[in-house]
Amino acid sequence: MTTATQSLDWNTVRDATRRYNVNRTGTHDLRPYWRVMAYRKYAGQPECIVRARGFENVLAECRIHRYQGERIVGSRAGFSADTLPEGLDADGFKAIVDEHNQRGHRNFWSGWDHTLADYPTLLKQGISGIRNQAETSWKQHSDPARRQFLESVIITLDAFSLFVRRHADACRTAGRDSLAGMLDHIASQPPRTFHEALQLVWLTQIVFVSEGRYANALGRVDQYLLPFYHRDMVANRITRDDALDLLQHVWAHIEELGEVTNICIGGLTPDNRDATNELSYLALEATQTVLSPHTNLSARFHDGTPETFHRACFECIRTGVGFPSVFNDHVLIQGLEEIGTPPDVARDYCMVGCIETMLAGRQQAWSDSRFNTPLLLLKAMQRMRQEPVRSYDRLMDLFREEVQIAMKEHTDNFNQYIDQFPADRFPDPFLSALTRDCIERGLDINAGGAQFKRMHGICIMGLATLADSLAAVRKLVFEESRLPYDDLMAALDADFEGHEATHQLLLNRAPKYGNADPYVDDIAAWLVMFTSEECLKHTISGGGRFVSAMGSNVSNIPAGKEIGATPDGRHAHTPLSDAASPHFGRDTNGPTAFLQSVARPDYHKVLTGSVVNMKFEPDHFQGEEGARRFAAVTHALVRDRIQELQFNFTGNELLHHAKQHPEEYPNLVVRVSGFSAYFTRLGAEVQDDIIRRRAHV
Amino acid sequence: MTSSGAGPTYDPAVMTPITGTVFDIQKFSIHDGPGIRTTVFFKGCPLRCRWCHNPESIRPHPHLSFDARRCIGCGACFKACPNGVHRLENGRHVLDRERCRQCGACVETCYAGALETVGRTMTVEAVMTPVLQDRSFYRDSGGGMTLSGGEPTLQPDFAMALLDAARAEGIHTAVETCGFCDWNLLDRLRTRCDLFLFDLKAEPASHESLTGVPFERIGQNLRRLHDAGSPLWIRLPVVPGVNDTPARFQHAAEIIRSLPRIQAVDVLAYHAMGTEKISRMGLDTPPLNGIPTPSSEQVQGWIQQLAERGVSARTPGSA
Repeated sequence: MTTATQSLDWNTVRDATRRYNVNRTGTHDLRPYWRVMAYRKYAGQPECIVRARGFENVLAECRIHRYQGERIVGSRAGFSADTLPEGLDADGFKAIVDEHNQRGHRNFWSGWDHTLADYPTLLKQGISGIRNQAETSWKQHSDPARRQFLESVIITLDAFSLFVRRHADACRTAGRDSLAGMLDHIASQPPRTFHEALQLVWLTQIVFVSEGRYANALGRVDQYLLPFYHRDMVANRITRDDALDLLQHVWAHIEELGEVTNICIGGLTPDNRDATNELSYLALEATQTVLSPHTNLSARFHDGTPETFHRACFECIRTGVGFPSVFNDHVLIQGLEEIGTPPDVARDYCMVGCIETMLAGRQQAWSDSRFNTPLLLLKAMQRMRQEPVRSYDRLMDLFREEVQIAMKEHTDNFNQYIDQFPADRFPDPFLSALTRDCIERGLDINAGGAQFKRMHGICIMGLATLADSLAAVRKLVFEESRLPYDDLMAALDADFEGHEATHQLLLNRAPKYGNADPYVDDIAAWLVMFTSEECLKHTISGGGRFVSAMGSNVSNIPAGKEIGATPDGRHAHTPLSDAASPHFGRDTNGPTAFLQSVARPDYHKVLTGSVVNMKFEPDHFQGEEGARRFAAVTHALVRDRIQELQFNFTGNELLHHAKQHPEEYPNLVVRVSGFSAYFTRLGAEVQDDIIRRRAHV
Repeated sequence: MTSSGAGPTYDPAVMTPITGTVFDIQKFSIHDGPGIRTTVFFKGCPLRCRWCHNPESIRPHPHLSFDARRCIGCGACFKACPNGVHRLENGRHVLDRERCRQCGACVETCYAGALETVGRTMTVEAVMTPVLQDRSFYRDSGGGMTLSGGEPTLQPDFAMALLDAARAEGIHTAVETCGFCDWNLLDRLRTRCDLFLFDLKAEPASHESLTGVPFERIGQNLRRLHDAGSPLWIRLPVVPGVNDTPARFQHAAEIIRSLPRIQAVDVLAYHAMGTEKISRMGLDTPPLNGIPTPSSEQVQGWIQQLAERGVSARTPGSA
């Protein structure tokens, strides 16, 4: 049972992990050194064994770092040190790092980061249970390569077990005997309690970090932890507050990683029931109390999601932390089923990284790449310049052709790249141990061991830039004949310099995505479907699917730098529109129109996922009335089959910026008095007033 | 049909060509009644409140608005205007509004949007199209449609047709009014309206000097609406140094206490937004200058003054 002092300790841990992230510079990452020591020792052995020994040595040699007051142990701090290993100067250390790097390593593209272990199996069987499976499989297979692979799996599991035991020893030395006892138990046996289960999951995450993986997800915590929570409740071993406290401790540790750690809650169960439960709510509470930017909480919604969950998500969102982002089960499950995922598996999807769809613990690591689609529109427009007869249909044909050519090139390049990472030279025994079917098949995760092949996301850049551009060309050049094609091209060439009237015409007299105008919304819908189907036409070398993403992370900025002015009125080298969102500043009809526009595309073939950013003024969502208003937003997501939404609640800093750069923020709604107004349409004095007033709150 | 339903009704099959003049349709409106609403702003107002924050509503007919900050100096309007409204004076774009015949030719060529026609004549159907788009948001949030302005009772047939059209679709309806009109207009609206947002702008002694009209009829209309059973929210615009006197709060409180079925009282704190708009509209109304927007402490102080007089008030949208 928790005590009053304990319940405050997650706070201390969170503050310490925050400090760790700030002070990290100047330390030496010793992981390559420890790996090389093992690589040298086991040179000549099969590659999977050598790599497993490298893995083992990191976990054996690293320092066990503990934070004061923590109830969950496991830190990345022990993988680096302020001083170099004895007998090595800077040059000597660099030589070893070079030796390490020469061996090569998988990376994000070749399948390494953005992983998610099969936590349900790990928690059910414990480390020794999985080890037993590997031994059994070893006996069943006679192929030497498979046996070697299984031996490498066993080496990593034993190393993992020893790593857990080292934490037990450290806790015992520090007088934390009960924690030490738990760790001793889970070093081999399956966890018995909620606390033990969480501890095992967290140490697994830390082991992934020891390997140099990042953006690893926790997956559906409210599903795989639920049996432990129930058992503890029945046995009177835990209270709701105690469970919350433990989650807060894990969340505080996520802060230490300093990188996106996806956590998935809610949604449907594999047998199609509502999966929302007490732990879903506790995860929300942990997120809104710990307030780390790295606990990337994803909430799954479906038609039967309870009202209380809509409401609880809002309570978290309105803190301004930006979580959870909300997802639509019906859209994602339909898409997964369509590419051959069995329904029960599809319903068990979750996210890794930001929004990427993943079949947890059954699939190779995630990867994605960016695809500069507006660049291809400009190419098509240049081609049409040379043609005697110009029409919108002809432009569309040329654009389709450009996309098809570029998509083939993009996927070919990717396949050539990953062919340089064959599984025998770049084995991955530990992740294989925690991925379904690898052990049974005796095959590495990347050699056909995983139950499902990988997905590679192709991020289609600038959806709104494209839709707005096509709408402007269609309407102003071809339908209204207001703007001759050559004049348009001249204005684009000049980045509108000396063509300001044309610029304003493009900006203000053509429909813009995000305003519930079917003229342009239908173009966006076509773009989503067309580009997604083009992605799905290609397969990954070694098996797997290319799937589209209507997301850009922040790549819309560099992608924009690569290209000139676009017919939507966007200046050369400025950012493209963000992800699947309307171009920021152009959705001037308010959030309901915004939602109607983003509901127009059918996203079910967008299997990576999409990102729609909504910005809200927190003052509009105060109290009960605010909660009712927000419920209308999450209901629209579910009902109108929007794939994803995420929410920013604006603060004063943004208002300052908006005042200086009003052209970027024409749609920012602010509360003025008994009414609201668009911030940038207000006089300067009024703006100052609002900024001042808000600063006091 | 009730006895008071003498006005024309909206029948989509017949398409009665009722039109009205509207200056804005604002979606996601959240301070004009419960939930998420669409507010239809009517043009034309019988009052001339010195603090008016919607001066574009005052004139009944469409007219030209010019926002110098958006002007790119392309000169297209000079060429387009057949009446010589636009000219350059010392490098400044000036408007001779007397000459404007509201033909809209300059607005059409002003791609930058510096010139706009404030107000358009719309059919009931044209207004209802955007209103109906947000129907599911009204349902999920407990919202609906609000007619505001300006003053909806100045275009009573249009207002009634809109209310009927909304009700036929099951949409909650609200009307915001200053109450300065013939009782029979309110009487005809009230059977089509689920909620009145009724403004009390000042106490009788200063009402005419601050708003241009006396209070008497407004007070009578409020009482009659209340006695007829119409759901009512009272709105109290408060301008520091102008109508925030104890006498004003005392007067408002006495009326509100005497009308027990009033559901809510909103304090609308002054904002200087209107002063800047006045120049865009080319209005010669003297704006209230130099009045700072009240702090939240000041607003809470007003709410407190009302509370001391037995009235529980709030700021809008905060329920």
